[in-house]
Amino acid sequence: MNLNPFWSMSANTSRKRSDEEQSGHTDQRASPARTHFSKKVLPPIPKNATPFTKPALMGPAAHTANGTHASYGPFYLEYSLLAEFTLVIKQKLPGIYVQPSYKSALMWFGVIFIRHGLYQDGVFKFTVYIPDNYPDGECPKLVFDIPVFHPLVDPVSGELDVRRAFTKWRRNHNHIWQVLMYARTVFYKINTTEPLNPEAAVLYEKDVQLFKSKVVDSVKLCNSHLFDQPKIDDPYAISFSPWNPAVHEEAKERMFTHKRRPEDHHKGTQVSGLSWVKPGSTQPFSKEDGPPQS
Amino acid sequence: MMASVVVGGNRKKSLTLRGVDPETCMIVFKNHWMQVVKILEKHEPSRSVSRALGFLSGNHGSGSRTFHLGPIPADEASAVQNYVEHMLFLLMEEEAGQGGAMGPILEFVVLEGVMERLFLWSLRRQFTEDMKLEQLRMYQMLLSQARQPLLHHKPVLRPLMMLLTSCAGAATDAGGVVEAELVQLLNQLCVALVKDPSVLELFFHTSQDQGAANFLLFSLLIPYTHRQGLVGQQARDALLLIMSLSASEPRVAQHIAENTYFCPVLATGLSGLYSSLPARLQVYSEDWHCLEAADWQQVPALVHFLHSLDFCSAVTKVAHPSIRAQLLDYIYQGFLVPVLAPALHKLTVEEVMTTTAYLDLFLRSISEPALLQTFLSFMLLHQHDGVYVLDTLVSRVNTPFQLGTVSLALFRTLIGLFCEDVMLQLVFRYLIPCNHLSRRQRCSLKQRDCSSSSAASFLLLMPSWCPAALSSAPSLSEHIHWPKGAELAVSDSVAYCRGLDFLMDVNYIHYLWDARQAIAISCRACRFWSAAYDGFDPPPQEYRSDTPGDDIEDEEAFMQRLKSDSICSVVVLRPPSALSPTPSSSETVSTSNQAGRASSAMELEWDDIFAEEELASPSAIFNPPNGCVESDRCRLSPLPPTPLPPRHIQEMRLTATRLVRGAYVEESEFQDDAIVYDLVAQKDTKTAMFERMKAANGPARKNLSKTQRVPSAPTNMSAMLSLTGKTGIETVNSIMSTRRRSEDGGKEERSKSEECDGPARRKSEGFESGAKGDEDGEPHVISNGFDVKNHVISECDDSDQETEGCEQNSHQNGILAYSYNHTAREEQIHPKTGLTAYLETNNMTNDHLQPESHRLLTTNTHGLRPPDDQKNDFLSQYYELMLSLGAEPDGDDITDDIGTFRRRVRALRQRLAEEEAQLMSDFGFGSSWEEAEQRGEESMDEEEEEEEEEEEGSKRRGVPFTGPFISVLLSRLENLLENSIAVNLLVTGILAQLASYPQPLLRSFLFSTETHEQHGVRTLYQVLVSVHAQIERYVDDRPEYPALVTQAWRFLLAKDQDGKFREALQSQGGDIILDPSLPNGSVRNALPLPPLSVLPPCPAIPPQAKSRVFAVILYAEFLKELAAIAQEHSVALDCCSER
Repeated sequence: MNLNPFWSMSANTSRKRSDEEQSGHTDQRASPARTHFSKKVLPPIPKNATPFTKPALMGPAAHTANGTHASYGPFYLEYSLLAEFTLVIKQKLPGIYVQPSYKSALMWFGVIFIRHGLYQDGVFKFTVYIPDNYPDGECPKLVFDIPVFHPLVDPVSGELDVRRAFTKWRRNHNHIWQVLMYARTVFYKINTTEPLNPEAAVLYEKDVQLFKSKVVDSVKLCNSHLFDQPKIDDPYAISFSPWNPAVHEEAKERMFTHKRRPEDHHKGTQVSGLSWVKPGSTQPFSKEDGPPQS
Repeated sequence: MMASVVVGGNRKKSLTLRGVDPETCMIVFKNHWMQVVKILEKHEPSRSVSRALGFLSGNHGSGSRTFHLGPIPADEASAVQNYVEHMLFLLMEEEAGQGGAMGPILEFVVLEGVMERLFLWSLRRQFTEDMKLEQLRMYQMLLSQARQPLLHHKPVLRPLMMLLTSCAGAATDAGGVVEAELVQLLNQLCVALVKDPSVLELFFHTSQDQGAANFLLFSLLIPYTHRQGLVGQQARDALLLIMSLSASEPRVAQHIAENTYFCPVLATGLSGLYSSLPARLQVYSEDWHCLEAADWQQVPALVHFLHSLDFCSAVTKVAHPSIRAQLLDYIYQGFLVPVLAPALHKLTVEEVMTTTAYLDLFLRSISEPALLQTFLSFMLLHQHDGVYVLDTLVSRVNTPFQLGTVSLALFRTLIGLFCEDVMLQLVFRYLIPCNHLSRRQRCSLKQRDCSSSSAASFLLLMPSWCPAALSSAPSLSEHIHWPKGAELAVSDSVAYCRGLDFLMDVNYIHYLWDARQAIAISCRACRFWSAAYDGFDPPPQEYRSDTPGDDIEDEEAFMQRLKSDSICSVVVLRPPSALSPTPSSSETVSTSNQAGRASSAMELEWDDIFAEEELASPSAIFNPPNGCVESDRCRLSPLPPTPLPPRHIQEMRLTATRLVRGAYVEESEFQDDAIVYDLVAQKDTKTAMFERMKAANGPARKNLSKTQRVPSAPTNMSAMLSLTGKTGIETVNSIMSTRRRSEDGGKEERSKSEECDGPARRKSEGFESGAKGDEDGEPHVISNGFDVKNHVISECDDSDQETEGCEQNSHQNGILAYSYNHTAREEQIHPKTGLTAYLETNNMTNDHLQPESHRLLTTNTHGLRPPDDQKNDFLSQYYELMLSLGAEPDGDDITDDIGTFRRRVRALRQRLAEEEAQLMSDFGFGSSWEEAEQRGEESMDEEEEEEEEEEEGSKRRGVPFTGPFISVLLSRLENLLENSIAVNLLVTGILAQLASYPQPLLRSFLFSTETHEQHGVRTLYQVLVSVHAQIERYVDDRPEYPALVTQAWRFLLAKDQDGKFREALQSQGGDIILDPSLPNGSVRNALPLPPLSVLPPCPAIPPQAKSRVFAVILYAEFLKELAAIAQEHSVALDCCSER
């Protein structure tokens, strides 16, 4: 397990996933989310609530809970989060990297690279906190490690105002990747209404030059703390270190040369399917002659 | 004497000529030759050598005896012998000259024609077996040990060819020794040929000298293609070498494809070998469903067949495309269509079951995709009597007999191939139009179920009384992923322990892991598929006109046809002579679980069907449009993958005809291939088949033992229950453990089988006996090395033993005996009178116990509630399901749904009311449950006809159709409580595998948890809900059940764990366990397994309840499995969509 992961390793998702699967334990001293989920006792599934025999019990119960099944335990939560994470990977969000915490699937570490615009060259580390009743609760929180100077970022806590974009978190409609996407957008398209940082909002409206210079300062500040130890002590926390060829060259090398293919992992259990269907046809054995699929 | 050459040669090899002057060697050689020539000339006839040779080559050496002048003195013969020994040694030791030129000795050999003269000398001395061996071994030695290439030289090659030719002519009476040497030499030659293809030219030329433009080497090998043992193996190896050579040498390929009968021989060989397989397997257990290695290894004929199939596979793999195409075509046209197709449509359930098991085994054995393609295209596209083979096979899944179980196993194999074509035909073509989906569902097809709502819905179906640890999977993950308590080490991650229920807890994690594996495998396997099957690719408009179920009428007709076919194909058509009072045919049929009731209503029905049918009752006119449907359907004609000129096919048929009549006349240009046909003719497949057909008019004699094995149980139902109380592990064990026959109960069987099977014959190995045995058409038993007696023991006797859990059921398995009953009556079941046949079969359908009846049975159970309750149930159920969708339903959807819902409720109420009325009358009498159930069953049989019509009425309202395969699977699943364990394991296994497929269309269908708008499409979830209701109701009446089931559950989980442990152990020392050669019954003792100490005791389950108790457990476990698969789907990185 890489305790000091090179930041880009967060893209190495599949491996992480399996690691993470086995690693849901250990203490959660440093985790702000701990108090939420470690003590939570979930309502057990009603023993008699099988839909067809005792529907009278089930119907209203389901109604009350936001039109969904009321009882999603951490068991479902785990897979919901995994599914969310899988979606994030598939979105391939530009300049955003996230990685769930070693200690809790409800906490994700992330970093965002701003490549142009006012915040160009900014590298902002952040943490996503997901409520333990996900996806039926509030929308996830996104907190920057260092409060970026931005109208929508709380200058004290560093929390981004996510809720304005997701007034009501709708399961199956809203996904965590959208939050991440939103976090990226705010740096390119500045919104000053109902700011968390009124100073920034006012400056942006009244004195863009000063706003810009403050932003530059903020970016510099953030970047100067880039190599700091992660705020949260977690093996999977994203940490940066100065370029060290001895450490990083090899990883870089691998990144550029190694194309990960699914079959590389499971050579032993290779099962090759068969198909003689011509693409575009729905007839079996429509492929002309052609050597059989191998 | 002859051996001395070889032995001497070998001995002298230890001497060395190193350092000896080549000149000296040459002089010695010449001197020896002078001496030899002197002797040779003394006895040589006056005519010239070349004329003698010409004469010879035309007559295969058989004329050799005609021109020897007189006996040759022994001393002279041995003198030649000695000289030749030395000469050969010198020749072998000679190094090639500079630049690859011939060494002086070889040059001398070539110039003087030494080899040819030596060959003639053997002829001169009466060309006995010994002479041949001597010559063959001489060449073997030369080829293997010479230091310079010899075959390039015609004077060496030519006599070799003559020798080969003459040996081939005499090969049949050689008692095997000459054959063995011949094949070995041929093998050597092939190796040399592959090493140095430049010799190839010479091989062709040399043959031409003899007037036949053939590739002698190859032709000589053909007869040994299907031979068993070392000779066959060497010959096949040699042939494979030539096959691989053909891939790079078009000339060889062309010759083989156009001038030899290699491909037809291979294909007809398969047919021949197939015909010598046991026509019916007497299986040792009701749970038996497929031929495992331990099974088929005990049947020499099957081993033989599989070897040949392997060989076909190998040829397909390495040969030139033209040969491959031809071979595959012949296999299709010469084996699959004429042999396997009729075999799949034989008359008795047992025969059909056996063929199905064979087909399953073949599919599992074929490794080469191209050959597999041929088999699959046969199954998918070939029509037998106007019905696709696949459709027939699908329809058989629902037969109540063991045939149904075996068919399920076949489909398990098919599903496991990850073959797009198969899945397209079975499942996807019905799903592509997306008729079964609402518009909203279609749009969300590709979305993943992020919040595990399907999984949750499935888990909610757990029986309500399930112990918490079993049903509430959610709670356990707390311990796994968010352990309480601080500072656990990494290695402790799953090391929580909750006492007794540890296994039950950890169990779901295993399901998740297995699901993950399964999905990953499916994903990888389906990467090469042509389409994603996600509702867009292929587009929904792309439905095929040939897909049944596009409209209602078609669907009706199709289902009808399916049903009629399933009966038609398994029915025992009673021959006229069998209309005697003795119920001969029904016993054969009654191999199913229900067999216990000797005169069950069903069997009587079957008998009645035929009686009625023969009278052509007026109700026979039932579904006229059948014929039209057939002709309207424009499907791909069952073309072989690579069509060939029909010439080959004609040739093939010609050949077959010749073989049948036993009057094959050599065609001069293929004289060498002619030997092949002698061989094939000996096996005489066709003759045997014809004879059998002829003999079929005789009264059918059936083996009664199957019926006898089940002790007469009070009711049909209880017989079933007592029969099937076996766990999966026990099933596996029973298959793995030896088939030592038990002596108990054997005597009765013995007398029965002897009396019924007619003259039992021992089947001698090889081909020779087949034709003779078949002539009289009498059924007889092939013992396969066992006694003829069929020892089958009732499984009920074993139930006590099983209850104790750990005891091995070694003696229960009886014997794997195969009764070989040649009572095929093809003429009778293939009525070419088209319409009549359809009418008749439709009539049968009407009268008959069919899939729907199972459904009726289960829906009937609903009827016990007052209808009002039911209505409420459905209302709330409906809302519940709506809500389980997660998202708030849109307005228009609601109105839509409500409309559908109302219709549905109306229909259901109507049906329930009708059913209730019936049930009230039925159940009114019964005081105990068993009686009630029995009565219910009987009355069902009686009222089958009416109910089925009702079914059809209600079905007509449904528009979409998810295909017969899905329907049949779901209908078997719905019958879970009544099924045997084997069937349940197969059904749930197949469904789980289907669920692992990554295609969104299939995934969304199987994991859909809503009531579909279109009434008529049953989803997996709906069926599970129905089973859930059955279980609840069943257990409600039996308060002692939950405790019993829980206890049994723990037992099974522990046993499963133990089984896994043992499996792991066995994989290390697996040879000991799987070795079939071990003496009877000793396998068990040979296992050094740890004691079964930790196993909790299996509760004492009443025998009649066993299968239900296990079915309940299986149901719950299946829910977990499905939930796990659903969850893993939601987190899978689907490689399929990233094309």
